[in-house]
Amino acid sequence: MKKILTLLLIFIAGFILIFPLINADSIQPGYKNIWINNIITNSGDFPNYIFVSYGHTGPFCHIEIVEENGKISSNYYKLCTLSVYAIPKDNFNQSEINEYNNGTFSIQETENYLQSIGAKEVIKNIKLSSEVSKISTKESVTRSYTIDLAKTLQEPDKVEVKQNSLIYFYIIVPLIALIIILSIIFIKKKKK
Amino acid sequence: MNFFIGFLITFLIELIIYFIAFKNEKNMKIVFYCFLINSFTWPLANFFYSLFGFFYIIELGIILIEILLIILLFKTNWKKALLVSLIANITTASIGLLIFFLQIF
Repeated sequence: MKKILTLLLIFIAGFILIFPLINADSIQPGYKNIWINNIITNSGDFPNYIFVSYGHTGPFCHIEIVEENGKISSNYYKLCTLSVYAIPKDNFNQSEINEYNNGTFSIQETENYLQSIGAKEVIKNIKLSSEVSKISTKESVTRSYTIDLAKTLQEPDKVEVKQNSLIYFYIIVPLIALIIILSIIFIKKKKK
Repeated sequence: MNFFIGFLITFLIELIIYFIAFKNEKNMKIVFYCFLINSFTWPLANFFYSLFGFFYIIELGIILIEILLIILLFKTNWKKALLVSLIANITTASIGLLIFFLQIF
């Protein structure tokens, strides 16, 4: 018995040491990628500004206009470091934006351009996706931001997680099992 | 689909360990109790893991719950229950880890 327990303890120690090493930049086996919906809840409060998102990191991290309902585009490469800028309507020029999106401008040049037209960074470090276990009940995540032109937000005000129907299995199956187990224990005690 | 396959693998592995540990019990009783214990712990473990992570804390909680259920259902002492629960859960976790590594390499 002592030998088995000693072996078990050695095994547990090894297991604890190995498990944290499992980490990769790509999607790990057994995991899935879920996209995050990012929304500005009060974009209508700033009629004199156009909101755009920019991914900073490189190709596929272009500039996109935030939709009228406040939805920030998720049409980006997942590793883009997304920010939202408020651009005064008078300074906004769609053709210039297109030039920066289609041309071979560096990240620094694009950032300088945004600065030159008075763009204020109102949100930064926006998460675009999240990696969850394949059997996770998480279906989608919506992060809502209430912006203030004087601040740069880094965290959303509200995070809503939509769960899929698997959540019912996770609750109902253990509940039924528990009822049966308790019934068995109760009957056994009664028989005594 | 992953849900059922994951459950089935865990159940079958733990069943073998239960059969070895409780040789004197009736086969159907072992299958039924093992199924009940796993039906209770497996979905809960996965649910909490998908929400919060904390693999070791959840695994420890499951081991403790299984110890209690083994004592109550099989009417055995806590030492045997501890051993069965530890071996069963470490084996299933290790096999899960092995499958994970095989998928990577």
